[in-house]
Amino acid sequence: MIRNTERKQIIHCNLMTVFFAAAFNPKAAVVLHVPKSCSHIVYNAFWEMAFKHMQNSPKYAALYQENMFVTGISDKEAIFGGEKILRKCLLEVIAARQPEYVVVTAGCTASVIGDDVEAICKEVAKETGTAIFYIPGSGFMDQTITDGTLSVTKSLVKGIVFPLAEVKKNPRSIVALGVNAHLSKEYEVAEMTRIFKLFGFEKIYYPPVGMTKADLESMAEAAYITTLGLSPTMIKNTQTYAKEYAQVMGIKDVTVPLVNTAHLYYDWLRTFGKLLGKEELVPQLIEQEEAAYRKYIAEHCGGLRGKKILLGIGAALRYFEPMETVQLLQDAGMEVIGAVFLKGLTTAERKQHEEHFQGKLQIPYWTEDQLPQLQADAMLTTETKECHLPQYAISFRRVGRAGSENFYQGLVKLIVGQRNLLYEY
Amino acid sequence: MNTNNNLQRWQPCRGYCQMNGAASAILSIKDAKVVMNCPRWCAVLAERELAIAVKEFETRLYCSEVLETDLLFGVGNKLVEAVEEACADGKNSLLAVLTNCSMSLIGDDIKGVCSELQTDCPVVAIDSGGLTGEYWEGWSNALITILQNIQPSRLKTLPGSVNLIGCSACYPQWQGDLAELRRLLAAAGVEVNVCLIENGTTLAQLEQIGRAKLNIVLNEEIGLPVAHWLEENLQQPYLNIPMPYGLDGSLRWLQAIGHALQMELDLTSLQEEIKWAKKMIFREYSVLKSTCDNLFFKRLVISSYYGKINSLLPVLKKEMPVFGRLYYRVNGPGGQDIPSGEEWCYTKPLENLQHDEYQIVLGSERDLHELCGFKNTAFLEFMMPASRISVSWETCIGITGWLYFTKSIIQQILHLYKMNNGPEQK
Repeated sequence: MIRNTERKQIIHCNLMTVFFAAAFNPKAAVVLHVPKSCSHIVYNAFWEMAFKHMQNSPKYAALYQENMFVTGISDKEAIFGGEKILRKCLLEVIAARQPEYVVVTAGCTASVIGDDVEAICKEVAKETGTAIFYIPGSGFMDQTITDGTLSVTKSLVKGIVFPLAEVKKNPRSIVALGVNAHLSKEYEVAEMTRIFKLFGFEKIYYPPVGMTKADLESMAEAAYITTLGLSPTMIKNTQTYAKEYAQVMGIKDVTVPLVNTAHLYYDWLRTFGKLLGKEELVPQLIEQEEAAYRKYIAEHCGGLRGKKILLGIGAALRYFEPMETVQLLQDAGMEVIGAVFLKGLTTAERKQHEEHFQGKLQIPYWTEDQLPQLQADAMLTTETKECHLPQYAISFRRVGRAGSENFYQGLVKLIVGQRNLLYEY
Repeated sequence: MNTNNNLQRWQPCRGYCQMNGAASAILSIKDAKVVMNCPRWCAVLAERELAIAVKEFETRLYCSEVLETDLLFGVGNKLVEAVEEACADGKNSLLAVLTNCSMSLIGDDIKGVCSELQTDCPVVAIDSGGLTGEYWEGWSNALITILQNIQPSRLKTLPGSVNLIGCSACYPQWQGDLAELRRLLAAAGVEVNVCLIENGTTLAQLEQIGRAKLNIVLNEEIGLPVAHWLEENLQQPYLNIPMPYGLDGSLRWLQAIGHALQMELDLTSLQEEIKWAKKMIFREYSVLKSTCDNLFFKRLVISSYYGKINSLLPVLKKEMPVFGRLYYRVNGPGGQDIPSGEEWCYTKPLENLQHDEYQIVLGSERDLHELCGFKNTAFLEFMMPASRISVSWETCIGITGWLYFTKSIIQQILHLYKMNNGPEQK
């Protein structure tokens, strides 16, 4: 089975996240320079993720306009090169859709056949007068995870925002990098916006998702930049870019890595306030937030006290840090009685988890095959299993106080509401 | 924004990839294993789609875990390791190594590597990169490769027997469709020899393919190349005929097969069944019309592969003429010769529905999102699934299927109408 192999070599393709970053941009077109087949992966994944968000926020549905186009590299292009077909596709898309700008990215096939995608983009942009942004990446041929949100941001900023570096800055305006505002969980962006507002910000930009050229131009007024980087594997690159952005635009980088538990969140507030030069606000903010968190647990989590919880771990430590979840469980008076290592983990990944627990939490470990014999009030798991225990499929990140509250809300529904299966969303 | 039909060419793929098509054909063979010679990313996504169709497929699917450096230095050792892992349980009837688009470009001698592998079963190497097609081409190429490998011969013909060619495990309702086809054919006195390719088919069954008098092509886009190969190599004739949608359509389908087999089929019992089915459908349709005063079926939209559309569209006009306009969109090859209906273009959005207007959408969930109007839409999955929920086993073909099809649409519309016009709306 592909999932269980010990030979696992993690690879990520750039296509999906690049499209996701520009799918909701109302006047943008996205061109993928790939064989037709590759596009179905992007298209299907998009709809699978997007539906939930569109369902909750009809404004997103209104923004989506079928803006993905595919060159459809075939065996002919494999022999003669794919530059001609890319050029034709760009010209026809621009003529028909008249987009404000076009985002172009290529897959591994274009890289193997050696197409100069960037050069064609420049040529067609000159010819048509339409801005074309080439996003580097070649399918799986990069050996690193490509963060489409960041790549598209970089490219749009270079072409639209950096030329406006001299614009007068608004101290109540901030750029928050590293979050796809339309495909993130709904509460996450709302919570970040709430926190920024606690510090007096009025205008908050989450590039590049959903932004028109005019939105990007107005982003040049921001006096601060920070990095949210909700994906732990990509945050470093985003942080490096935030520094570059701050330098070019002559503004302050106030990045503090996001955290996953309420306790760490207070430290985050302290550091963020200090970077902004607003230390005087912090003690009161922390007091307010702590009080609200304690109040929430007291009012809503009484039914969780004393419950025995199993952790189902099927994701490697680089994706899932279990001690953050353990902390939340302990805050509400629950007891973690053991960890079940699920079949998707390789031997090495399981060992990493065991070493990580050492000295922090003494618990027995089991395998997925032993699951039918185990007893607990619930299993918190990174992936759902056919199981006799109530299961809570947990998220890998929780933003601010709302993230912790959202976690408890689901758990209360599961345990007190006697449900069998719930997803933390 | 302006729209332009030229953009049709640049639409994204709405089916699956070629490697996926090849894998679905191979994995339908009992105890066959597949090694995808490609990066993990492509393999994991293909695995996910195949597992939606048949969950058990994922247990027989492996990946060579190609990295960028392998493009320079070759993938030989990784492929050998993947094959060893795939064959470790010793329960193998066949092993197929499928190569994706980037790997097929670098020109590794996969056939050479495969010929030197130590395995307990036959090994085939198939280039299934997306450069030469999509799911449909992958499916046909894989089956032809398997047939070339087992070299079936023309055997003593079973009178009144047929092979069914062009049934894919990723196609919606395939289980129900096959059961109904077998039922109809058996009732008419026609024997099904082999079905290409029903899940769980053995290599021994495939070797018997030459026994049938006639090959019936069920879905042209995948079945026709295979039927051509059988005609050329086994001198086995074929009948390319759309799937039997509709009640009268089912009779016509059987009559055409009888004619091709030069057999007088006894259709008496099926004719009786059809009479009864027509009464049932009329009664239910009357209930719908008498309950919903202002109901108007504005349109029916079908977005599917060629075989499905080509089979259903002409029948809808004759046997379900209750809606205003008929739109279709062919995903994959074919479609130039479709006789009736208007093409639904990617770049040409359809009109919004008014309160009392309803539509029937036969496609995937993606199409549903594109069209919107959920509150006024009856929906049936008629394309390979785009979501993680597998397609129902119910059939829409034959007599059983047409009853299910009409009943399901009537029930959905009735429910929607009541929801939209019921007391809680007032």
